Amino acid sequence: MTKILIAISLLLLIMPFAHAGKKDSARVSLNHYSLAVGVGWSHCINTLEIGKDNASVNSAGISLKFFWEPEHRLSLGLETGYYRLYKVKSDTWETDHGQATMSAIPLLLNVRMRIVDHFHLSAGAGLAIMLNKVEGVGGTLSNTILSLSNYQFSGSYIYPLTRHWQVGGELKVLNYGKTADWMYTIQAVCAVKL
Amino acid sequence: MKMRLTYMVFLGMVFSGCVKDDEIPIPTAGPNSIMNDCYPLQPASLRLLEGVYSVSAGADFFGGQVILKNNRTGSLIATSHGKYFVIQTGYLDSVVFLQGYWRDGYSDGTGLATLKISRDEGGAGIVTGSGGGQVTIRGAFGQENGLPDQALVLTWQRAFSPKADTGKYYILAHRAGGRTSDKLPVSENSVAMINFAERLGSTGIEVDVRISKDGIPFLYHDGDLNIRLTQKGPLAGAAEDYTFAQLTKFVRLIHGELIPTLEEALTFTIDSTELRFVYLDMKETAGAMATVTEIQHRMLERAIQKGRDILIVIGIPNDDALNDLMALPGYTEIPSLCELTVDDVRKLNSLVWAPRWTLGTQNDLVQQMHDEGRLAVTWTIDQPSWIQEYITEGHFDGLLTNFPYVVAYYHYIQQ
Repeated sequence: MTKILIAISLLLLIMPFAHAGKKDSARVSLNHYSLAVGVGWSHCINTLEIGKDNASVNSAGISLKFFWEPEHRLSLGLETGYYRLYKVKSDTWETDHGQATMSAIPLLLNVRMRIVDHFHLSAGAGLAIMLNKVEGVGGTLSNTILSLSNYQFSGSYIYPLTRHWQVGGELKVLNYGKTADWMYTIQAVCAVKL
Repeated sequence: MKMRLTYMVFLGMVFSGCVKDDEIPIPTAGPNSIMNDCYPLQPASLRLLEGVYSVSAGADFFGGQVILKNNRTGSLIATSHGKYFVIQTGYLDSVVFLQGYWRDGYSDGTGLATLKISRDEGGAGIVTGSGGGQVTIRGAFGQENGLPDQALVLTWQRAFSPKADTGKYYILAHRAGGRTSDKLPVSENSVAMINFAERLGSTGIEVDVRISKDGIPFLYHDGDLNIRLTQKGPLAGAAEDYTFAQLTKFVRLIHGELIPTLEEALTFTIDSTELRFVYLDMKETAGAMATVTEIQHRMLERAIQKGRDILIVIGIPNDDALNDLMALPGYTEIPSLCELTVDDVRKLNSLVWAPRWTLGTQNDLVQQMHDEGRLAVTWTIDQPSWIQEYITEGHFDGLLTNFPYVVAYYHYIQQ
């Protein structure tokens, strides 16, 4: 999974430069839509009481955003993605080989504001699908739980390479209400104006 | 500046909302407590302590009357409005010492209590078991862990009336003895809570039964694993979606206990407590009834072997559960508690009829149940005024509550 995310990340970073040399004659309306993909590192703040010392809380994460960008500073959009919050191995791994993994797919409605050139702040709230997988200790089980109250705050720097293509970075804090988990991510972002 | 202030307030609200506040610590007298030097009172002496007491000093805080009732773990002093004392007793020379803590079940109030009965105020008679009578308990109570500094004087008024002292009334406590949300020192639906239940005046318990993915009945109330009832762990969602081994490995109740199997809980109840009633509240009955009734049958046999007079009844809260029970062979012989109509009770031959309290005291129907040799209990009453009304005007054989000490007060104070 990590290798695939790294490959996608590199591809996204290279793509804009491949286009940059070409003449970009297409006109982008001031009122337009954009699609952004982000890939990077995510870290879940470890507030576990069970398995705290056996938890792996760093992983790769991916995000996908679709924004309506009108002529003014505010944009409105939808965000989703995939993040692994933590993987907890049984403390008696040698005997029972158990581990539990919690991942999340957020589905957020975002509002983004351009503060200064290329720099944006964003806030969003919405649902998250929490994916819980337990392996070992009596079989493998997967469980899907809906988290109703989730939100994110983020800051991003997006630099335009061409009229259509932009690259940049984003720092984001996410909260998942169902499990009361906080996570932050740093992602490389590639966006295209549609 | 305003924006910054708003931002700070918002962040403060977000983070303060995450602070857990699960427990009110039990105040303790510390290692130098006089109780360390005391001898335990004999059963006959303890019995002399029981009764109704008037409160002279401390009446503004605890009311004008209290009851003192012993249990397996110590003594309970209960008031009319939810304050109660959990007390240990002992004696030294001819002085009886009572020490423990008080709690307000309806708020976060708590504090130490140090009391004694001096030799000339009934102590000598209690220690020798020759007589109680004019007993005066003197001492003080404090706030939280502070030293007891407010006077408390209790004067024995009378023994419990024959009506109150039959030993047949069931004071049933929710969730194995108490709810986690009431900030008790042990978690609801745990073996530790079953062990704790009698301190609060309970003579029976209700437990919530669910079935694990691999078919093992266990105790847990909520529909999902959550940080209200469990310590934060890597599992989420419905507890039934996991095998019991997974629940044991990755889940701890809020105070650190393991989720118990139904069998563990019932074994402990029979072997280690004096509780007389267990109401199995079936949260999920589909495919589970046969398993649970088999455990119930085995545990009732164990109780007989141990000489324990205890009822263990399967709760029937809805038509689905009723149909599931009726699908079993010999269902009329399975001890059950039916929350539905009296006709359903007769259909199942239930031992206990348990209507919702909001339907009223229904004394005529309760009498019908008594005439048929059945019991009737009602659920779930928490307000002191309603508890009083149902005890004084109703004919139920018991009452399910989250505040068993209030039920104990109104039951034992009856004339």
